[in-house]
Amino acid sequence: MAFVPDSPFDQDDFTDFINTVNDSLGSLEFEIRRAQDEDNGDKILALTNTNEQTIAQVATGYSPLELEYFKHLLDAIVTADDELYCISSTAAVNEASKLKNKENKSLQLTKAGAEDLLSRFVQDKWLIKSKKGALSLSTRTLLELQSFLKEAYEEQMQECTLCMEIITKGQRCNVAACAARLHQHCAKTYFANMNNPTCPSCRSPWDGKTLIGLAPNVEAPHTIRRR
Amino acid sequence: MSDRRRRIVIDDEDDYGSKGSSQKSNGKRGAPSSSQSHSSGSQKRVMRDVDDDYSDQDGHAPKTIRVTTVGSKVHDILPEDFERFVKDTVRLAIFSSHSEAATVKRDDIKALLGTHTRLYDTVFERAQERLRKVFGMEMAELTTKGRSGKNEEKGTKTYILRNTLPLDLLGSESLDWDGQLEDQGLLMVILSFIMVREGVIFESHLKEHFRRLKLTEEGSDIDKKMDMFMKRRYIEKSKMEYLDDSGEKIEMEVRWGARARAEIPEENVVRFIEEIFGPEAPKTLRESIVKASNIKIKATRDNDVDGADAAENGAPGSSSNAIHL
Ligand SMILES: [Zn+2]
Ligand SMILES: [Zn+2]
Repeated sequence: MAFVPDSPFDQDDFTDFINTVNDSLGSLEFEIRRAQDEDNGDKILALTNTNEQTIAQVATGYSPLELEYFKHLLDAIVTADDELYCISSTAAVNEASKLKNKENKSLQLTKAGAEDLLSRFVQDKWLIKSKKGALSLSTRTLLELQSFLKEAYEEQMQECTLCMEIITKGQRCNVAACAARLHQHCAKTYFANMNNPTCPSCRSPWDGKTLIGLAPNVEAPHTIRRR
Repeated sequence: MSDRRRRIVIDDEDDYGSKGSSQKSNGKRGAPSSSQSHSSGSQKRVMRDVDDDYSDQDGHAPKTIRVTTVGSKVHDILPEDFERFVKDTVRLAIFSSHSEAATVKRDDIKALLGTHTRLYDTVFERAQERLRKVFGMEMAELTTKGRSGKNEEKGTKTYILRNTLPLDLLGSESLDWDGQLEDQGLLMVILSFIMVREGVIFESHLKEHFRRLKLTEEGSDIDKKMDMFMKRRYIEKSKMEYLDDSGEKIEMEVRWGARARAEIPEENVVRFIEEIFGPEAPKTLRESIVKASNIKIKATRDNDVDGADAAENGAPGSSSNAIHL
């Protein structure tokens, strides 16, 4: 559901409005967070759970086993080689057989069960599935699990050089040693008036063709390679 | 010092001694993760003294809330612990509303309270207040009418979240319900057909109506939608065996489900039907609907109230089809 203001509104007023709502929500450990969709740049407001209790905060509706699988997928996606931040559905289903419990016994998640669960993760908007079957992190996951992701994957999680938010899809600097990364929508804003785009960080030429995340219409590797 | 304490009277209900069973919430589906560790940790700090004298001579007493049961047992509980219970209950209700069944069970709430299950009613009431104030929602108990649908409604100790926002606001065009509006429309159509047949319709007849409304054309996912409405307890189906001239027949009967009964006033359905008929509606339409449905609402519309409605939102009738899906 979306709120569609029927007349132009003042951004500051709107911010005040959100802050007022958040004052009430805060005591219940909820917060409305603002974000931009990494795929299309849509501005999003999301009611998020701010209770910083590990990843179990996504527990609602999932059993411990299902949650374990989700964690497993999260790990494979975040640590994917070459900053792809995605895995193929095939690889995701294969991962299910590797799930172990604390006593190191295999957990009972069948292939069909894993497939079912994957579609639930996608339906519940924890994961995004591309037309080519690549699974990546959703805006919901990035918003609700941002603290967890930043803590658990300090090395792998990167920030957009312009908006400073987590980035898993966008453009990166050609210079391998340079840390500049830009969301597609941030790159558009940043380079709007530049004839010869240069890296906001190292000033080398920026062609916008070196990507972070998987290029659209490309299949993700069928095996999982970690960085 | 006694003014620091709030006295809350709660019903002296059941399970005072159920310490063991109330700890089972750990890992339960849908339970907020935070509650367990906190409630068990805080139990030590809760004053357990049973004091018949409410005045407190000890100036250094911790700031506690004294909870008195009807059976005159007295509990003191730290305000932060009480607040935690209320908060966890609200959170559970919100989380549960996004689960598949979209319900929260009384036992799940009790499980949050650890050994303090007798605070249940007080915590529940306080959680309701917070839900209404912050979210414009409240928990409503689902009821069962039994298979025949004619029995007295009985509580199920299962709650759904229902909207408490004024209808005008819900129907306002500031809310974009995405695809949900279609589903709501379809559901209202189904509920209308059921209602005007005194609460029950054969599924085959319903499908005949769908066919006439061209809802069953190729590519239509009407069966899936029906399943979804059933899963979310907007409608219920039951098997009906009967005899007619050609022998024994089996039909599925469709009725309003518990969620529809808790969430959608019959008045809204009447208004929905009126709106479908539009300005050409026969003058006696409302009367006919009420009569056919055999429901107890006013057969004539209160024109004063209606006029006020229209003046308020500028668009007469625009809000009347709003329901909370
Ligand atoms: Zn950015
Ligand atoms: Zn650079």
